[in-house]
Amino acid sequence: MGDSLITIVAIFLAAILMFVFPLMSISDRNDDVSLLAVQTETVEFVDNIRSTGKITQENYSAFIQKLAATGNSYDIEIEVKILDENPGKKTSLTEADKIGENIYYSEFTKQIESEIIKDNGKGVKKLKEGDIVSVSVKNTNTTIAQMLKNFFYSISGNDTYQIAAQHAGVVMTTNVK
Amino acid sequence: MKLQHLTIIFVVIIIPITLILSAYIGNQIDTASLQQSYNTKLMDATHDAVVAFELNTANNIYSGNADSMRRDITAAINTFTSTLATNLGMSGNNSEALMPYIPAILITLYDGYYIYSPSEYYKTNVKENGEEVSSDDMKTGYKHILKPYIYYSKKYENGNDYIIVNYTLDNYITVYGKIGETLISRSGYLSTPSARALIDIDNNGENLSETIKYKYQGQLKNEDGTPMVDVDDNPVVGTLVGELKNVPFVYRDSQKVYYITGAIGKKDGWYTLSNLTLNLYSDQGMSATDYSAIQYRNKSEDFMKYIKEKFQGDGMKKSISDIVEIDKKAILDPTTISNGISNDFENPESLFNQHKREVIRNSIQDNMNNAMAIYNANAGSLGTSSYFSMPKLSETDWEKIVTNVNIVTFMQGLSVGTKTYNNYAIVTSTNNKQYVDPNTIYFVDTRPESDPHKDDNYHTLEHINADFNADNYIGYKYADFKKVKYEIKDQNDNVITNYYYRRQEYACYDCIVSTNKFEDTKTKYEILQNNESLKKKYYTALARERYNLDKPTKIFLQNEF
Repeated sequence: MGDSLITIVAIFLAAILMFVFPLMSISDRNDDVSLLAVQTETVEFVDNIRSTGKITQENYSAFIQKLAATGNSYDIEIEVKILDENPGKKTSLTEADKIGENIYYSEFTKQIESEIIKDNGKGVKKLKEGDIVSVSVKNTNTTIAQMLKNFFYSISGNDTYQIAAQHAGVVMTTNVK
Repeated sequence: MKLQHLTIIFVVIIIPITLILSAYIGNQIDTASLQQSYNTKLMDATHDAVVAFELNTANNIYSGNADSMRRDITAAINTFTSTLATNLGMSGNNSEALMPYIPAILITLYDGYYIYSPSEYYKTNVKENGEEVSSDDMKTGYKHILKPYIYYSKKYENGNDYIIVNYTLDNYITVYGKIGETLISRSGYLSTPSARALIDIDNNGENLSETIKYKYQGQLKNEDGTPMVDVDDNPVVGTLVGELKNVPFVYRDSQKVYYITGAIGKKDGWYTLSNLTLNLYSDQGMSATDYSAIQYRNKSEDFMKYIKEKFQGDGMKKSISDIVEIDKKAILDPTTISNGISNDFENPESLFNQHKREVIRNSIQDNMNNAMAIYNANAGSLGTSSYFSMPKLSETDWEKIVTNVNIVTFMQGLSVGTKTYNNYAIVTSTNNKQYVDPNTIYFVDTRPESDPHKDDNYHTLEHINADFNADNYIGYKYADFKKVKYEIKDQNDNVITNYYYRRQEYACYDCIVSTNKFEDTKTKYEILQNNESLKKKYYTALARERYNLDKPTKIFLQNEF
C-alpha cells in the first residue's frame, strides 16, 4: 500500500521534472527572446520616428510584422503629444513675452492609424521638432509560459502581460518634405 | 537500466542545458538593451550638439566669419561630449575618457564639411634648449582636432583646361580653373531663364516687416504698474524693453536694417538690431522696399552668361559649361536633358542636383575613410584597441546628409555584453543661418490688419496651394518664425531670460502645428508646376532669403556674381 503511494508520488514528480519543468523553462526563455525582440523593435521604431520626424505606414506595418513574427499578439499603443506654441503668443498676461509654458495636445493610436493607414501604402504622419512620441507594446494572448505558471500559481488582474516594452522621446527634426 | 536511472540521467542532462541557455539568453538580452540604450543616448547627445550649434550661430553676429564658425562648432562638439558623458553616467572631468570611443564626428554645412577626428599633433616650438627639434621628436601624440574645412568640390578636366567646381546645398557654386591662358574664378547662383522670370516684383522690391524688441533706459514700474521711486521720491531708472510691431526692414550686407519710428529714446531712421540694441545705420532716406530678390536675379543672370562665355583654349573656344560635364552632358547648362528631365536647377531630380549629391557623397566617403584609417592606425595611442570599421550609412541617412546641415556622430569600442558597440547617429538641423532649406519657406498674409479677411496664421506651401489665393501672401524663411531669446538685467542685476516672436502670426493648426490635413506625397517642385502665382511668390522669397544668407566658409573671390 505504502509502496504504491510512493510510486504514484514518484511518477508525478518524474512527470513534473521530466516534462513540465523543461517545458516551462524553455517557454520562459522563448518569452525572453520575444521580449528582447519586442524591446529592440520598439526602441528602433520610436527612435526612427524621432530622427526622421514622421510616422510612415511602411515603418508601422514593418513594426507590426516584426512583432507578429514572435508568435504572439500584441496591443500597440502610440501616443503623440503635439506641441502647440500658439497659446504662448496669444496670451494677454502682463508678462506676454514669457513663453515656455507650452501646451501639448495628444493623439492616440486610433487617430494616428486612421491617418497613416492608406490604401496606396504611402500614408504618413508628419511631426515637428518638439513633439513627443511614445509607444508601448504588451502581449494580449496567453503565452505557454504564462499558461504553465497559471497552472501552478495563478496570477490574476489586469497587468498579466509577460512581454512588454515601451519607449518615448522628443522628435528632433521637423519633417518638411 | 532502471527507469529511475534514466530519469536521473535525463534530469542531469537537461538542467544544466536549461540553466546555461537561460544565462546565455539573459546575456543576449542585456547586450541588446544596452546597445539600444547607447543608440538612444548617442542620438540625444547629437541632438544636443545640433541645438547648441543652432543657438550659437543664431545669436552670433560674427557667424559670418569662418574662425567664429570653428568656435561655434567646437562648442557644439563640447556639448555633445558632455551630454554623452552625463548620459553614460560619467560626467565631469572624466568626459575626456570618452574620446577614444568617438572615432569621428562629421559636421556637414552649406558648402562643405568639417571632420572632427584624432590626428597627429606637433609641438609648436621648433627649438628646444636652443637646438632644432627633428620632426619625429615633435610628434607628441594623437588627439581629436577639428580638421580643416573641406569643400564639396570636384575637378573637371578637358585637355589642358580644367575647372574646379565647389558645390553647395543649393544652386550657389564657385568655379575656378584655367581655360587656355585665361584664369577663371567666379561664384554665383545658377538659374534657368524661366526661374529668373518668376522673380518679377515689378522691379519695385518687396515690402518686408516684422516685430522687434529693443532696450531703452526709462523709469521702472512696480508690480502694480505705478512708477517706481526711491526713498527720496526720485524716479528709479533702469533698462526696459520696448516692442514695435510691423517694423519695415530691408536687407543690407545680409543684415536686417529696420526703419524705426516712434522708438523711445531714438530718433526716426534706419537701425540694425543686435542683442536688443538699436545701432544707427543711416538717418538718410532709404528705400523701404527690399531688392534682394531682384539683385539675386540680376547677378544670377550675369553668372549664367559667364558660364556660357567662350574662352580661348587649345586653339578653340570653350566655355566653363563645355568643361564641366559628365558623360558628355553639360552639368551647368539649363538646356541639357537627361533621362527625359530637363536640367532645372531647382528640381531635385535634375542632372545638376543628382550629380551634385554624388559629388558630396563621394567627397565625404573618401575623407571619412581617411579619418577612420588614421584612427585605426593609432587606436593604441588613444587608449583603445578595437578595430573600427565604419558602419554602413543607410540610403535615407545619405539623403539627409546631401540635402541638409547635419551632425553625424560615430561611437565604437564600448563593450556591450557579448559584443562591441559600433554605431552612428545623425541629426538634421532645420533652423540655422547657414542654409535656407527650400522646403521651409512659410507664408503669411500681407493684407492690412483692418481687412476683415486677414488671415492671422502662417502656412506651408502645400496649404496655400490647396486653400488660399497666393497673391495675398509673402514667404519668409523658417528661422524668422522661431522665437528669439534675449537676456536683460533688472535693477538688482539679476539676468532675466525672455523670448519673443519676430512674426506675430500663429502657426496654422492644419499645416504647421499638425499636418493631419495634408497627405500630399508630391514634392514641392511638383506642386508648384501647377500654380503660377504661388510659384512667383515662392521663388521670390527663396531668392531673397538665399541672397541674404551668411556664407562664412565661402572662398572669397573678387568677382562674385
